[in-house]
Amino acid sequence: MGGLSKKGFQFNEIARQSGAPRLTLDAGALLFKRSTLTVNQEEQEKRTAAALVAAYNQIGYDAVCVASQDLIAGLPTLRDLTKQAKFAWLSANLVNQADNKPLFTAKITLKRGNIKVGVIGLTGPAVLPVAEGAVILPWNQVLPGLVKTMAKGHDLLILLSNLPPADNQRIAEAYPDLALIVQSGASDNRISPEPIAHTVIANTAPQGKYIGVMEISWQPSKQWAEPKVAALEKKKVDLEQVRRELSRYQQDKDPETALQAQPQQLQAYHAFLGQEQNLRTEIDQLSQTIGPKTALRGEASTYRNRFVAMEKDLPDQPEIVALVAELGEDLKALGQHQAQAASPPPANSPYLGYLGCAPCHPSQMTSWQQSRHAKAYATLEREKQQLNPACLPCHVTGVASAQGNEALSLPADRRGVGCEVCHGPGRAHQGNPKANPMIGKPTVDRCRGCHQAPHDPDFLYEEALKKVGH
Amino acid sequence: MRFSVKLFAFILLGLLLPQPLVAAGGQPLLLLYSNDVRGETAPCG
Repeated sequence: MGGLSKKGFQFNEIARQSGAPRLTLDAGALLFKRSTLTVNQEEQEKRTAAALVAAYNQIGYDAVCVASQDLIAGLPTLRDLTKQAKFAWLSANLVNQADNKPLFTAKITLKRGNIKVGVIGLTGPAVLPVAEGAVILPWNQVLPGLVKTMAKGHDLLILLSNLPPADNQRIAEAYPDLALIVQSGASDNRISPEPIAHTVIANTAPQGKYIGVMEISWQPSKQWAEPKVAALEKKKVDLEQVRRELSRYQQDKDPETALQAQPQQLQAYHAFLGQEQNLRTEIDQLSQTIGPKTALRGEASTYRNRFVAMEKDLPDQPEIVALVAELGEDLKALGQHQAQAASPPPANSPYLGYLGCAPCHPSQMTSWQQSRHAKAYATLEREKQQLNPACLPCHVTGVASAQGNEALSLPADRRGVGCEVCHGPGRAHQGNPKANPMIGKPTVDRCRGCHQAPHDPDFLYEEALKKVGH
Repeated sequence: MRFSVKLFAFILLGLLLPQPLVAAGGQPLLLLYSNDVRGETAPCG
């Protein structure tokens, strides 16, 4: 959550520099990281989610879409969390089964400068069964009526969508009144906004690594310029500028004669002539590729989009730093409490711990101790996450993710990615090595169980084996 | 028709016609957006 404080600072700084009215939106999948929660993980995740809501209040978000992932801790939990929010939680299709009325806010109207903005939210297909009495309706049951109602009364309509990208494309093609769709759950990272018919679909990279910044110039036509049309208009403006420069040289005499004694001026004149020629060629080429113009009631709207990376050296918003620190202390106390209550591993656990392997495999032990696997638990301690059941399974030996609580009570020689993570449980092998051989080279799937996004998205199996092989 | 009546009719017509919701000329808007802040399944928080 360290990126949140930087996001807060950057949003405020970008808004300050822009001076334009600001609209801050999130397309959802904000609160929970995993698709299921064990009893041990639930309390930690709820507290983290509450801190996220508080941080978003600090940042000044206007609306967040309810994603199906946000329901993982249950509908009552989500409703409790939304009560703490100063921003709107939007979903037009997560409804009460009895009367089809939305359980959250379906849409909001926001006035930004002179623009009346309508924002609608749509929740994607359920990840888990939704609470009894609630249902996620198909988008085509709720969206047509909403768009029809809102189109006339608003200057700009935005959809926050947790639907699959293919559905968002269909919506863009079907509803020209929707100017913008901000989507969550798309797999593409940080691609430029995509114009589909009259709608622009945008999303930024997940995990808060980037924020999207879109500077919009919104026209009464309520329509975007086609990208090629926008490029053509820009080149025409550039051509006008170049011609104004050329006219300064061409005022009285022929510049070729007048500037003979001023080689630098003559060179600049020739450069402008070249630019004029290039721009005319480009304008001709672009004009031929542009289809019949859409009839606009006036000028087309335009946007300029960029992504800002939440780099580690960016300044922080102090209030959010304090929030995150408080959460860290809270989770640490919770983890300590859970550790005290946790049961130690059973005496007949199939896992030995690396001290059990050392007597028969001393050279391998020496090699392992120099590897990053041996330091995996220390990494958590450095980040103060050693009591976080969500992190432990990939930093200790012989604990599946569903048993995170057991990881809080492991002996020292199972803290770290020990021999048995790669080669399998060792107790049976210790009793009868020939009858119970260990796994030699771990499979790529075994490694990718932990070496995956977001912590190791660039994992290369063969390269990694060279680093840990012995 | 008297001038005052014509003027009144002109003003009334102007009031009744749909007003442009956005003033002429591009209106600036700064949209800051995000998504999937915690949405991906990952082994560690």
